[in-house]
Amino acid sequence: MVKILLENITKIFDGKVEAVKNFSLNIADKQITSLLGPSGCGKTTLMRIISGLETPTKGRVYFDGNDVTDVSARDRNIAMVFQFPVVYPTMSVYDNIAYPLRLRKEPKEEIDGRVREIAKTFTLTEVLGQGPSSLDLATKQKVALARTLVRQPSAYLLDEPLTNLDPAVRVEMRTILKRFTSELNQTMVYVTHDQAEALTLSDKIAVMRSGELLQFDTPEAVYRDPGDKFTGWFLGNPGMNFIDGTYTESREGAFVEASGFRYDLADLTKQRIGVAELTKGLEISIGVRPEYVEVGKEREDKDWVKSKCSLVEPVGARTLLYLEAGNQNLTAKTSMDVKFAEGEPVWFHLPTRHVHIYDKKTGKLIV
Amino acid sequence: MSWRYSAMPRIEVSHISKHYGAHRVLNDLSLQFEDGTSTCLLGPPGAGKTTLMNIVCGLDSPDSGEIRIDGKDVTHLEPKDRNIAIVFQDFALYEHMTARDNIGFPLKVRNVPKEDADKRIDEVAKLLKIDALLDRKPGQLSGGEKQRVAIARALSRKSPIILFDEPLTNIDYKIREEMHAEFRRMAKTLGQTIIHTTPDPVTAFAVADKIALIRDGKIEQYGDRDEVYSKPSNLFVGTYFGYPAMNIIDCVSSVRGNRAVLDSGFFTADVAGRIDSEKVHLGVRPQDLYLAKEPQKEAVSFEAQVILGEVIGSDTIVHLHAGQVALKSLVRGLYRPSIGETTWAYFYMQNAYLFDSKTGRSLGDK
Repeated sequence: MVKILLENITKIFDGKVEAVKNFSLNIADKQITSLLGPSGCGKTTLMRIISGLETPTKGRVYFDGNDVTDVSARDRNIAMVFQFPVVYPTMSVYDNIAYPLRLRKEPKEEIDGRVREIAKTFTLTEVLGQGPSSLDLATKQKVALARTLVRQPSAYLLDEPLTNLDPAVRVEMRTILKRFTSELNQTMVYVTHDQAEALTLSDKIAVMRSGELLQFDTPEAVYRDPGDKFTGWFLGNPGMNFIDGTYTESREGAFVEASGFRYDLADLTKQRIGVAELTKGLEISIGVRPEYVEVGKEREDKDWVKSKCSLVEPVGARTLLYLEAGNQNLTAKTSMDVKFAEGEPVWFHLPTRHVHIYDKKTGKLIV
Repeated sequence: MSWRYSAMPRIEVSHISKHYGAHRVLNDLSLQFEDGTSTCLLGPPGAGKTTLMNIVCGLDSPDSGEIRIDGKDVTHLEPKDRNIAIVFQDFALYEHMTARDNIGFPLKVRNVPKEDADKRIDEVAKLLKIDALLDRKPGQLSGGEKQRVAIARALSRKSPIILFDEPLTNIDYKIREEMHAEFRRMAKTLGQTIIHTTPDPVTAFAVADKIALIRDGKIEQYGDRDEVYSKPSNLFVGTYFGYPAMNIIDCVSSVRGNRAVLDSGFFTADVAGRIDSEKVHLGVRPQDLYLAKEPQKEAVSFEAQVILGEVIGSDTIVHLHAGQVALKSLVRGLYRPSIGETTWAYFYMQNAYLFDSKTGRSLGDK
């Protein structure tokens, strides 16, 4: 399995549309790496560049240190699976899976062993003799994945292969893919717009927006410490809250001042170093995830802030409270047992260890 | 908003049946939609939701039964005479018209003077936060923006009744999240009589005050949202209305003195009082099934194997196997256990639901 290195990749279409901008990424082997971003962020273009279906305008692609930028797709030995399953309708499931091995003229016994083994992994043993037309969408996608995985290529590129499947099958497939990569030392690149998919499957996530890499880290790190406001908003449901204000310092400490709202940042700035970028008067956004906002009917400490509950929205097993403080809005995600009425005052508190300070203009994380 | 509806109509449908050929879509269905209230028809595809909507607004007529709006029989009235606005799943916008002209279309048809029409368009556009997009055509709008335009068009004519037929089905999940809150705000601001249909329990939760669970053309349960959630009358309601769906564990019940003992094969649980059914389905919502390193006192504990930690945003669904049963536990935040790991799972009997395994009916309060 190969390590893939993307070095300063830029792709410009028709001389003007910049789909990927100076993008560098180091994709490890034996792992699932996700390219995550909204539609139009350049993730599919990047995948096509890795596979060799597209040539970058600038930059190089390396497999295990070898420059493959000018190597054709066929010679890169990369396997791809797409959102809509590709199966050969005239062949049985067995022949579909065996096809890439037969093309390589592998010995018959070897082929048979590999086909049966992968069929077992994907619970396809019972349908091996059937034609694809009798199969449902999920089973067809299993066949497409099995055929891709059986040929043991240098790397797998998967483009939202689970998007159209029903939730129960999706769970089964994710389990299979996760097992497969960790047990068999595969390199897998997974392209998706679905944060849940990326957070569930990946060892590492590259968050993309407008052709640029915003953050590359483990799911835990990307979720807990988003490097910019977009990543904070895009991951999580609902995404991170942002309260805009001006950074101020006085004898009393450090604060964010917003209209009708003042939040004490003393703990935060004391605790974390490297606050040189925090200058008086800087426009900042403080970010905190809805599930970390603490709420209560009473003021429990001096740093609790009073707000009005404008909306209560139950979301399955949790409840969202929309709070208004001054002209700031924020959302708290609480358990279903917490009962507040719309219009009622709610005291809230932002626990220091979950608070991030972003530069309002650039959106970049400061502390 | 310069207008808010004052007297809102109540809609009663009584004994509605509808067949398409030999296929019975609605089966002697009766339901009241209260005035100024958001009601959600929740049920799987094919349950009859859209047919019922079409019958309420007059796009389709029932084989038998009647529809009354504020007591007046409208069963045989034309759609245009019922004064009901409807928003469809596929938006149904006119591609060649700007957002402004789309929103104003129902007003133009009704010969509303241009000045009044423009004022109303601006008002609804502001309410739905699309005032900056009014000059664009549908092709230049995102899915969420198109849906807002479709809703604005339904609102512009000030119908006191508005029907939403799965309006969020074709929308990205991030936008759906925003639209959920938007629907509630709109209902609060304007106060119409609103009917939603959806197959999605999360949407039903978010948008409605009253829920009607529908299956095979019949209402399974109707009531206040929280009431239906906490007291499902049968297994279907319990498992369908909730996300993630309720875990169901089949148990055999036996009598021990004045108590009953439930045996699942991988745990036994003690229940005060009698259980008349020999076989029961025990239901536990995923947020009431906890994980721990060891068995817990006072709780029903059992060992389980981790299948997958499915992160769904700010929560994780941990899929488990216990005995031969697939179970889900909802854990706060991001949790990524290793596949195949063994864990203890536990729940408290006071959070469990019991259903008769033959009829599916609820065996009383939890």
